[in-house]
Amino acid sequence: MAQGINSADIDAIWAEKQKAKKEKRRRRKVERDKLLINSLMDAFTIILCFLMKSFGSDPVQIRQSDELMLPRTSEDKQGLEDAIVIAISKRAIMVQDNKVADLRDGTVDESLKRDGADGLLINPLLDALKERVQHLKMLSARTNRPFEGMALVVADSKTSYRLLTEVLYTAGQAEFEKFKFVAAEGAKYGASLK
Amino acid sequence: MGKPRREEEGYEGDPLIPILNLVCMLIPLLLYGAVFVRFMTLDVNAPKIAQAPAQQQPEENKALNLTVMITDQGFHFKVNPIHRLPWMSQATDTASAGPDIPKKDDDWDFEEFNRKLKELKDLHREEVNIILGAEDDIPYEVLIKAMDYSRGGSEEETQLFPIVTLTRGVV
Repeated sequence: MAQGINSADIDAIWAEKQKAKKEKRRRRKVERDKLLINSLMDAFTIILCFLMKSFGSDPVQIRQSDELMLPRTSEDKQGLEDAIVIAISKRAIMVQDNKVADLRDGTVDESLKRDGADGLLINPLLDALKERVQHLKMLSARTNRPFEGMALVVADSKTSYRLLTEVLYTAGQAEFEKFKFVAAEGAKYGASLK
Repeated sequence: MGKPRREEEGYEGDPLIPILNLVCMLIPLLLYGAVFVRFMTLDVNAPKIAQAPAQQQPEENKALNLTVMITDQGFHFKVNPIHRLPWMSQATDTASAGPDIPKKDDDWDFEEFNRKLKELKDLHREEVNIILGAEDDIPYEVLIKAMDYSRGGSEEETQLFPIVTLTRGVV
């Protein structure tokens, strides 16, 4: 009986076993890949939902950078409202993300002011704000809502008081009456403000 | 003979690749635009641009008219003369008078500023207005800090002077 199995048969059985082992290993590998992609998809879906929520929750998008570092405040009640955003960074004044005037050493060039170096009114800022006011008034008329004249001031923490008053004065000339200063939450001042 | 193992149901690998590519592109895009810091707003009334202090008749005007000027030397308080406290300077212009609260360790003494405001608030419970002004080169963060301290606590009973009006420069 033992003599009935020759070496060629043994080799064939051996090869078949090896093939079966390889097939098993390959199947296991495919299963492992499927498992990995499942977890990855779950993680991505959660991250995507979280990011989309944080992206769309505020009516106004403000991004801090080295040029525009907001001061911190202890105010904890009010969030952002939909209004015209006047941003003062280290290098420029912007209205709704459009640059209207360059800054040099934190000041506006006197050629851009109506009354020279001592003047308060910044001409390009006034033009940009007037254009926005005109647009907002047109929208207010169509929606039967009064024009509020509110502006959000987003200024770098090192902005000088002089520049701030120049911007506020110019905005006032463009019919803005209410201002809200934007600051990042989280200032810690100690027990006296509790 | 054991039960044959139920084959796990999983996503098919190949059709997911375009979706994964899309998700991989969306995540950096959203991360770039995402805001992880909450922003607060502080109400401010439009600045008063008058260069000279308004002429007041103390007998007629009994309001506190609290004005605080922030200078490089410290805090200067101005009130209606009939409400002036002993620690307040009597000089009419800020430039010639020393500060009512001088700087401490080269920084503005906000704790003392808060104490003085509380003293004024105790004498004028109904008053909620404060006018803030500063020298030209005072940074915005100092103004925000002064606004925080002049507003006081977040509860109504601990609030000091929450309605802030800015004034142009030092008067």
